[in-house]
Amino acid sequence: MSIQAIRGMRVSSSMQSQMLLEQMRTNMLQLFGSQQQLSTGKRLLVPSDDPAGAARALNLNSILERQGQLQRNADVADRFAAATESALVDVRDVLNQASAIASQNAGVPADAQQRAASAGVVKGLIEQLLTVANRQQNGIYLFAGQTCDKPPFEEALGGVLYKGDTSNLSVNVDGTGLQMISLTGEQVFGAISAEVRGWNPLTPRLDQTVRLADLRGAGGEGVRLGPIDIQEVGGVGSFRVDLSRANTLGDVVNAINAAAGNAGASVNASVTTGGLQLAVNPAFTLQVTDPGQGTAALDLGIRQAVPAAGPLVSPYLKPKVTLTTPVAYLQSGSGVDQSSGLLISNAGKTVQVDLSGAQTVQDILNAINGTGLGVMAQINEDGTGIDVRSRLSGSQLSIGEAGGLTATWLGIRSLHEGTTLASLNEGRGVGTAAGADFRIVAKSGANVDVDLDGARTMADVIVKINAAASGAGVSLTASLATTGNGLRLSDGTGGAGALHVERLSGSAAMDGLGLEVAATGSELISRHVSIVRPSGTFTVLEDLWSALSSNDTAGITAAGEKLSGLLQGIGTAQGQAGTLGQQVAAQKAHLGDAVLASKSLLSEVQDADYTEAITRFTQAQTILQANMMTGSRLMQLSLLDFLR
Amino acid sequence: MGLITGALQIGKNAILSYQSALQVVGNNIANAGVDGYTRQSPILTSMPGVTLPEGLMPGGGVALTSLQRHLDEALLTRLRASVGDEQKNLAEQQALSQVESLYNELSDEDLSSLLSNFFNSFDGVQNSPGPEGMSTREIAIHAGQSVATRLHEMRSGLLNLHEQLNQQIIDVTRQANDLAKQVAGLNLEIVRAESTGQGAAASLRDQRDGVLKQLAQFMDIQTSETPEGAVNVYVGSEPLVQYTRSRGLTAEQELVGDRTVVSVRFADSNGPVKIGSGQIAGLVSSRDESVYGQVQEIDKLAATLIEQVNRIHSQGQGLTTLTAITGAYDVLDTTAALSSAGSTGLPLAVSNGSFKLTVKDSNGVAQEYVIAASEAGLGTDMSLQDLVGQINSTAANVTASITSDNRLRLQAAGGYSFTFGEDTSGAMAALGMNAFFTGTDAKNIAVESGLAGDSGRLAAAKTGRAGDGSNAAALASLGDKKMGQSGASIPQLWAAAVSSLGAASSAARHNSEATHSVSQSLQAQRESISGVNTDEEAVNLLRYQRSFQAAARYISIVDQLVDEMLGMVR
Repeated sequence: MSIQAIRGMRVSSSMQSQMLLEQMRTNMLQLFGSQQQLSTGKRLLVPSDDPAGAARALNLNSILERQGQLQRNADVADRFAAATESALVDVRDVLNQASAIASQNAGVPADAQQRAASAGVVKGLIEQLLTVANRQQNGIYLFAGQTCDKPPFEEALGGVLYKGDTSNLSVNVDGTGLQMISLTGEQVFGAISAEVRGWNPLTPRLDQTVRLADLRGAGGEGVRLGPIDIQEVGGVGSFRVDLSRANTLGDVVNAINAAAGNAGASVNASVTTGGLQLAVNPAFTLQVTDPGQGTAALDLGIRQAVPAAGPLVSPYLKPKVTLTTPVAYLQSGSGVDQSSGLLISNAGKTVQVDLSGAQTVQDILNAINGTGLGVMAQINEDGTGIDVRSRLSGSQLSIGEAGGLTATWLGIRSLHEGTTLASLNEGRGVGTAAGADFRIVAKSGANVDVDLDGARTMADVIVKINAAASGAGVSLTASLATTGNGLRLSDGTGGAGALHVERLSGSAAMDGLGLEVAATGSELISRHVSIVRPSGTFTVLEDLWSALSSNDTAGITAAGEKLSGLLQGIGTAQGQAGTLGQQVAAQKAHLGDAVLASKSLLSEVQDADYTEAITRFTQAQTILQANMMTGSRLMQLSLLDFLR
Repeated sequence: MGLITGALQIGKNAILSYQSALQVVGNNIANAGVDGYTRQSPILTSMPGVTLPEGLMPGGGVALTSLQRHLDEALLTRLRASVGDEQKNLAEQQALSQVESLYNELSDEDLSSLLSNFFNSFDGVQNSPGPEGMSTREIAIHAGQSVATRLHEMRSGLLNLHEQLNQQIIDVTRQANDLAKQVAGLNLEIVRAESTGQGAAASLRDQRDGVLKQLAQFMDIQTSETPEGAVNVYVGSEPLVQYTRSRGLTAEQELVGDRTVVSVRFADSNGPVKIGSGQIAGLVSSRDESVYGQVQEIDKLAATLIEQVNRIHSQGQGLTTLTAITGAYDVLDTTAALSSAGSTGLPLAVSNGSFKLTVKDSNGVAQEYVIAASEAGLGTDMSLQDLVGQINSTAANVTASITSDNRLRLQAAGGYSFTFGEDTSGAMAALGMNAFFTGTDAKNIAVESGLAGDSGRLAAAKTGRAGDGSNAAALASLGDKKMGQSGASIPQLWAAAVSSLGAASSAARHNSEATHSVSQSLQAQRESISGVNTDEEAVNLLRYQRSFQAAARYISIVDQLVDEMLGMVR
């Protein structure tokens, strides 16, 4: 800051001193600024030093802090991946040992005694594997999913019960979202069975309270909300309805009716059991369109290309089954047979589940989950039905009827008409031969020869048996058992013999359908052949143990084959863990680079340029010196000195 | 002989005149160091004298006829205006830099670091589902408390500054009042003194100019001089000093909204003084804009933080299950529609939507209920009472009620506990159920007391599983979440606020420097006209000394002539 000199101006004595003072003030400020920069090493000390730079610095600082956190997140993922990998190596060791035992004992020269001894070793391996499966890292159970605060595996109900979870632990490694870092007991040990699911989707009906978020919509894309245009042709014409704040179907109806009321239109919306209905004065026609790129009308199934006479009825809007869906709403509102209940068999026990008091789907799930048989029931991912799965390795799950049709209507009967023969016996299917596969001998002694060729599902089998019986003129009917889970043969011949089934043509079909059992009076109900069980490590080891104990070489061979499949699975899991480790490592390297880049940017914005600061300091110093010198010289100089 | 006497008279006049002129020079030299002194010059005029015998009239010598004050009134006016501007900008700059140092941004302990730390701490919670999770939960809660504490400190610091500025306005008004009184007093003295003769009150005028300049530092004044020599002073086109009377200034305290402001008024009419510039204007504008504007800014930030965090937190689940909770916010009227924040007095409006209430028994068997919160146009416009009715008619084993202070309370039946989720209505956040923060602004923001006492209540999960940190992850990503029309996240909103504060402060600094430069320049111009140069005065000193010597010599020559003539007589 300087005083501007004006041409032709007088200079008064006090101006000289003022000029000196002012100049010194300015110099001192400059020097102080340089001193601050040099002593702190920073160019930016308060935001007003450079507001734009300050904004960048603040931003970069918060990015750096975020990146620091992401680095810590990556460290967590890294440690977890390493622990998982080392546990998987131990799992592989156990499986390799078991595999060796299986191949040593499959044939000669092993004998029953040696197999019995090996069975003991396998028992030890199961214990060893349990320890690995319950391994912790920092107090977190590696393979428990999100219920990682409790050991996931325990020996219970005569098998190994998985109490863990199906959701993975995750952390935010790359800042864009959560990344899975753990593998669950289901993924590594195959500890949960495939689901029991019937042919029957639950197709709930609708009402006012159904949330739009729970609709899959006419196109299966959900309902994307927005405004819709309704045109009452011949009436008031077009009016718009804003549906963007609607939460339930009732809201949609209310919004349409309110807008119609405001517009003076005759349009009246209502919720039907399947969707929406828009009534209109018969004198008019109606058209609903989506303005612009909107899809609300399309998703609600009421968009129309041309005006049409009312009422406009949407297609079924496919509501998802939710925990709060009333049981009475299932099967399009006809509900399910709740009086009989279910028979659930697992862990060698059968429990009858009473569903008569169930109000909502959640009550049904709670009842099934509460049987204490290691089963888990949940709504499937698509929201179309219920899945029931077993958590108990080494045990077989089946769900049957308790005298009614509950399991069928809920779509969770293990053996139902749609069950394919190929899926029976844990996927081994039913072996048939050319010609008749088995013979049913009725109590009267009459024979019914059944040829299963061409049969694909249980319904086909029933049709074939019944056709063969009527063809043979024998009063015998096949159907699905109303109690339990089998195929039922009812003998109406009333003879004195025993109803039984015999193999024909060397076919394994009779055993495949579980018909080798003895009849009770005039009724023969097959064994459970449509069973599911966890297909994983513990099941196979249990199988191997029991095969070794019972000297069953075929069983040992089968277990050995499954073990090599499991080893592959472990390899996949190891690959997953390894990939995760690599990803995390790459992410860490990337983060390191990013931190460096942010730091250098921040330094550019925030840090003092020493060369520049020192140069400016020196400059300011020189100016101050010059100023002081000229000032003091000028002030010394006075004409008064020459007066005498 | 008449001629001789005439000649002697000329000499006498000259000696007296130059003696006076030397006195004036002496006075100038003596006042060379006095601020605001106006240089004076003796005006010497030649006198008409006797007629010579030749019929010619050479004149009667010299006389000091007047004293000239070297002064440019227009320049003084400009100078006063520029001093006022300078003081205004200075006051603004000082206030803004105080705010800046209060915020202490760009350091390691600033609010932006605390905010980053707060959001990042939730990643820590997400990372530690195991036993060490408790400490990371404590850290997250503590980080929330630090943010709240820092906001309190900043707000109370700003309010202190606000109070200081008020106090300063009071002090400055008192000073300005004294100065106005002095102007009135000096007016009286000058008029009196000058009624005896022109230029008689030079030093009084200097004094008055000085007082006016001081007054101009406080407020923008206009002046006009009366023929008698008095100066009338106007502020914002209203008179402050009329002739010899000052109307007086007082500072009045009044309550505006939730704060006390001091305004300057005329003492006689209590009418407001319209001050556009000067220190008082600077103090007022920095109080209202820089300081109170920042209070509003951090209140807004706190409100956004509370809302966004609570929206997410209220839908999550902690390790500790909830058996009874009371909302953090009360409604003004339990029958008022929840969709109108204005009539409920809640921090947020509840929108049309629903939330899930899940009730678990002691065995962990869950029952989920969907509670709809509707609004007008789509359903009934729900009040808190309606919501309570809705919960009670929908859910079993949980009782909703309204407390005596109009808050929502949920109480589970014995052995039961409950959680919330998927709240599309925002009702839980609006009512402060399962909240992380309570409060509505930077003054009262705090970590919810139940949560602060039990970190297990930190809702890290969306499900009840120990390893589910998805809600914590959602809270962590809130730090990056773009919001509203500006598309800025909470830390970015704050960075923008800090940056605009910095820009204002930087502009004030430049303005202050610029106006300082202008006033220095004008000051220099004034000095160049009115200031004393001692060298110049030395020259004048020599000049008048020589003239004095010459006049003395002349008298002695005339004296000799008289001697000669008297000698002729002898």
